[in-house]
Amino acid sequence: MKLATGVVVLTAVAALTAGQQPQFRTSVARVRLDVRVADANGPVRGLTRDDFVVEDNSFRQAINIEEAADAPLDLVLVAQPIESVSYISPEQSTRVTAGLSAFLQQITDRDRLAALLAGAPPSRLRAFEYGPPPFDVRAFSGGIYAAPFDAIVAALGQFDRSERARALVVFTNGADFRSTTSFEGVAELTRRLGPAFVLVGTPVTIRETARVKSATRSGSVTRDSGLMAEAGISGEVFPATLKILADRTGGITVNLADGEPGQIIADMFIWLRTRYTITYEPPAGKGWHKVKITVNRKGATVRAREGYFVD
Amino acid sequence: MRELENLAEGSDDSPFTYLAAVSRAEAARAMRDRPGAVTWYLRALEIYPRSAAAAIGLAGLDPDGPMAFENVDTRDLYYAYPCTILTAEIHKALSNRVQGASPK
Repeated sequence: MKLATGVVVLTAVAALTAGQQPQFRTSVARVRLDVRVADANGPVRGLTRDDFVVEDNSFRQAINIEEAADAPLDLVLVAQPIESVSYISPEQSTRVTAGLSAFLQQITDRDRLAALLAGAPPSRLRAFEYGPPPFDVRAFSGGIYAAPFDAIVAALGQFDRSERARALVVFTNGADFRSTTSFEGVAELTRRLGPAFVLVGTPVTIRETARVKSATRSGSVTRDSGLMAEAGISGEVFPATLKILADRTGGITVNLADGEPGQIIADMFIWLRTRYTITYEPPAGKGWHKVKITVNRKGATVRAREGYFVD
Repeated sequence: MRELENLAEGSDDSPFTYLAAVSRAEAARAMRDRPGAVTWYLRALEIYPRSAAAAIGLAGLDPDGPMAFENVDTRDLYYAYPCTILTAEIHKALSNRVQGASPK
C-alpha cells in the first residue's frame, strides 16, 4: 500500500488549568481552546470575545479570550526516517527533507523543542529544550522502517503542563511498519483535551481503471446504452486517516507539493503562532462534549477542535 | 487466543514468549479489551523490562502519564517483525486469525 508523504502537525489546542497533570486529563476544571481564524488574506486579527460564539453541547458559553500574534511555541517534532520515506516514495523524500530542514530553521530561542525519530522502535533525539536543536536534518536517518503511530503516542507524553502554544509536528507518509498502536488507538487519543493535528503532506496519486456502463444523452434525457466501457480515473488525495485526525482536532492539512517547501513551512509557522486562546468553565456532564465555534466575520473560517471527552 | 496466552505465560521468558505477550496485548486492544491489554503489556514488561512496545502500548492506554524514554530499549525485538501496514482492515484480519487459532 502506497501512502502519501506528509507532515502531521499536532497542535495543543486545549490545555488544562495549572496544577493538573498534562493535557489529557479528562476531569476538566477549565476548557482551554486554541482557535485559529483565517480568511483569504491569512490570519484574522483583532477579534474580541463578542465576535465569537462558543457552544459546548449546544449551550452557549461565557468565554474569556486572549489573542497572540507571534506566540512562542512548545513543539514536539516527530519525523520518520528519511530512508523510510524513500523506501516507499523516492520522489517524495526530497520534499520531505527540505520541509524538515525548513522546520528546524524556524525554531527560535523563544521556542521549546523536543524531537523524536519515528523509527521502529521510536527514539528520542532531544527532550524539551529552548532554542534551535544542535542537529540538522541528517539526524532523521535511521533505516527503512517507521512506526509513526507509536512515535505519536510517545510524543504526546513529552508535553508538560505549560500553557504556551503547543504543537506536535509529525513528518510521516502515513505508512506504519510496526507500531503496537493502531490508527484507531491514535484517533482515540484525539478525543481527549489535547493536541490538534495539522496534516502537511504530499497527496497520494490514485490511478484506477473502472468498468462503467455507457449511456447516451439527448437533451435532458439520459439513456443507458447497455454497453460497458473502461474509464480511467486519476487524482490526488491526502491519506484519509491522517486528514481525519487533523479535522477532528482543529488542525489543518498543508500540501508540501503546493509550492516551495521552505515557504510552506514558514507559512505554517505563521499559522501556528497566530491564535486566539478561548477559555471557559465546562458544563457538567460526562462523555463527548461537542464544541462549536463561530465568528461574525464574513468569509472567515475557524479551526478548533470538534470537542473533547470527559470520562 | 488461548494458544497465544499459553505461549505468553511460558516460564522461559524467551523472546518468543515476549512477542506472544505483546501480540496478545494487541489482540486485546483490537477487541477494545482495555484491562486485557494492560495485563498482557504488563506481562511483556515482566519478561522484558525495557520493552519499548509495552511502554508505548501502556502509554497509549493511559495517556495522562509521561512517556519515559530513558527506560526503553531502542533495539526492542518486537519492532524487528516483518513489516506491516497497520490499517483497520489488517487489524481486523489479524484479530480474526488470532481468534481462529485453536489450541492443540
